[in-house]
Amino acid sequence: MSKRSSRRKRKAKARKVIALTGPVLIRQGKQALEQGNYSKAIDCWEKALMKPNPSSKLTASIAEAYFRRGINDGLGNTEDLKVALKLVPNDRIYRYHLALVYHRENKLKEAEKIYRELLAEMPSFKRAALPLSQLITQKRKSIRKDPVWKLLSIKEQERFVAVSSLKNKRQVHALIYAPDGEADLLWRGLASFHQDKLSVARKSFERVLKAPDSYNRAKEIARYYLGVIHAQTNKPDEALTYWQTAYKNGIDTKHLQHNVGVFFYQQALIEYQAKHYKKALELLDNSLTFRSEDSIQTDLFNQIHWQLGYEATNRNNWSVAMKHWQKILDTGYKDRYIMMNMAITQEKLEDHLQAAEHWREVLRRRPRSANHPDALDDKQVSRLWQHVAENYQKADDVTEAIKTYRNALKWSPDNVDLQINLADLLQTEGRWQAAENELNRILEANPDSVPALTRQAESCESDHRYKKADKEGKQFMWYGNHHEAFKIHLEGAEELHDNARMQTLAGMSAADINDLDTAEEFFSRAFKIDPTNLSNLHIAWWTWLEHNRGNELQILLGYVKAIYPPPPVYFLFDLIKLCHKFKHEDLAEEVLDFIENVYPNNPEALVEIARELYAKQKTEQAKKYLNRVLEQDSTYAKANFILGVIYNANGNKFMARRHWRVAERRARKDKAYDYISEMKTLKDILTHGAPKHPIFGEIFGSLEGVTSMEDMVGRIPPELLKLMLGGIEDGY
Amino acid sequence: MATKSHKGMSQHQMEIEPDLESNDPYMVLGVDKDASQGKIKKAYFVLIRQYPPETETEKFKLVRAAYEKIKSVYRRAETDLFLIQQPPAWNPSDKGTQLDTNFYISDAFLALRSWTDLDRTNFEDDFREIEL
Repeated sequence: MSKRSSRRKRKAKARKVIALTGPVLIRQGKQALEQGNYSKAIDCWEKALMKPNPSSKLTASIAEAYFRRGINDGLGNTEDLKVALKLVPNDRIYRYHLALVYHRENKLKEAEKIYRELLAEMPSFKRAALPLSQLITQKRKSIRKDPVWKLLSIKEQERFVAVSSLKNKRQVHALIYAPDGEADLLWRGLASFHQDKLSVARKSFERVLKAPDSYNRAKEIARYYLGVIHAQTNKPDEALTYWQTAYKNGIDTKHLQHNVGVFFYQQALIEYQAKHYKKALELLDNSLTFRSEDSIQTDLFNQIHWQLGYEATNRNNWSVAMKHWQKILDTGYKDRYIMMNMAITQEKLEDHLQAAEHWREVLRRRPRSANHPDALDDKQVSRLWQHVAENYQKADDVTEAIKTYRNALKWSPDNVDLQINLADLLQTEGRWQAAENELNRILEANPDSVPALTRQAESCESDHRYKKADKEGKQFMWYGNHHEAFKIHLEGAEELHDNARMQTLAGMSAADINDLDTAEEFFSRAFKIDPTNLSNLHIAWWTWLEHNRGNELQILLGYVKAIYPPPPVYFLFDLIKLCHKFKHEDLAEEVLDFIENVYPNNPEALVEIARELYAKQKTEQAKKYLNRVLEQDSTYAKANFILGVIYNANGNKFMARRHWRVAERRARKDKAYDYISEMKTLKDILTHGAPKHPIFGEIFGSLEGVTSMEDMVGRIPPELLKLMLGGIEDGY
Repeated sequence: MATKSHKGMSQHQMEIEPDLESNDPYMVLGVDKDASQGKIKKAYFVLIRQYPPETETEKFKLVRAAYEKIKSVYRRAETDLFLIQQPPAWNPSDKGTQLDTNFYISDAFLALRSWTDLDRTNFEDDFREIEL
């Protein structure tokens, strides 16, 4: 940089410093004040006050700027007025305006105190008399008995007397028939209206509108009542014009809003009856602006949207129909039939998961009494459950589909089609035994059922072969004879080449004999047949972790990530647990990231992530996740319990107890008795140390000194062994 | 007197004007949801006479498809279970839809307030000269 340019910069900087000197700041402040920018004026002058030798009038100017800003918007701002009064104490104008702001904010006690002080001062600040009188009337006290009465002019006193007459319904006629000039036109109009003398009232109100000295508010009130008179004389359009003008000019009383709302509603109703639905909706929107919580308007609103939605479905315009149904639901209307329309529309839009949920809602909302005219019989209920299941199936949510098929069967136990559908679904899930049970059930009732017999015949051989291989293979594996197990599984896999489970078992036992290439080949075959089977993925995951095969694990993770809808949270955390077991922490992190991506708001997932983080001593991060859960549901038991554990570990026993209490209360409410007992045990351990629970001694006491698997199997009670082996066999 | 809009069936009998574009088989055939099987059959025959397959193939197909959906009690039960529902019958209530023509004393208080400084928005005459 040249010397000349840096000099130029220094000079510019110096100029800037000069620009901020006192006089310039004062000038800038004055300009800002003239432009109504009071904040800037305050800023400039407050800065100027900090400069040496400030002007003695600067403080008063700042106070004035605060005052102007304080009364500048809406009701006014007491904070600014208080600052102004701090700078120029006892200023009567500032105090008066502070009282007005208090009055507008309905802080009548504060306002009255200042008004009275101002009036008591010498000389008296008479402007305060009128708002004080208004305040006294507002407090429903007699103004004539108050000393302020004498401070009012005759005209002002007449106004208060007029209001009192209207209020007490006394001497109203005097207001109507008072000679011109002796009673305000507005009072005459109101009194005439009050006495049903509509033509006198109309004339008086019209004169209020024309009178040059009428106050705005008086004009708008006159307009409102002119509207009412026109409405009473069947001139609704004129009435609306008066009301809308009054509303635009600041009258927003409940009765005005009611009338405008009713007017638009009635017009909307006429358009609706003439089948001009869009026009009706426009009018109704206007009506709802004025009377948003009116159920009658909402009924019409829903009726129109229903009609428009129905018409859209007849034109196959399903997305438009959906928008209309949604509008109805947004008003809180959740009738069974609207849910039905929603479900059918979602099916047409191929959103089968949502469709299934809405069909469930239809079922939930069905009338339960058999005498109800809309009651559904058992067959219809069953058919609807079947339909829910079909939607889940289309949405690839096989677990829910199976559950709902079972529901359908509860309502129609002899429905062979349903049983066949369920058996098919169970077979595709690899749940051979359950499928066979279902087929057997059909054949018990209908020994000649052709579809059941066909399916049984088709699956019998392969199923039998699979089960035989699986059972024999497991026996050999259990006793550590992996070569023999592999032989059995290999034979099974070759015979049942399209059975994903068999290929997986072959892969697993190949890995057990360290033939990892063969294992990889069988796993590839399995996932080519079915890349979404969680049980098979779990076995392969375990196998590759055990053999530390990073590439293969990444391929498996790819399969897991591709499953839609994403696998359940418990499955993903099981994968993480296995990663920890085999010390694959990076992989665990990857799975954790995936969980956070696919379940960003799932409380169960967030709690498990927090648990993971806490286990790694990342306490603060864990707390963040738990708090995210509590933002959604402040009493979520698991989140509260873990937060309690964290606080307990940090020595904050008070907070720990508080969260545990919430967790227990919620768990009790949800009837999660297992979790209550789990929490109690953990709390006991955390607060009193680990107890020697009798049941552990009972079960595992006999296992002390075990030297081999056979030895252990021999010692475990047979019922418990059956349970444990059952668990292993079922897997997922 | 009832006018004959469709051969063999008066407007009284047809109840609703058939809408061939509708997805609702009852609307296509122009019958009520509670119509008897006999009435449905009758309406179908009226329409296929009006739209014979030889000359009005497309319309005939629409009528036929609608009839197939409700021609037997069994099929009708299945169709009814998955049919888009029309808006329910609705009679607008008079309650809360009348104009309010009463006098309100609160309006008089509102007017009274407007004669005080409480409703004023312009207070320029209270502003002081800045003497800087």
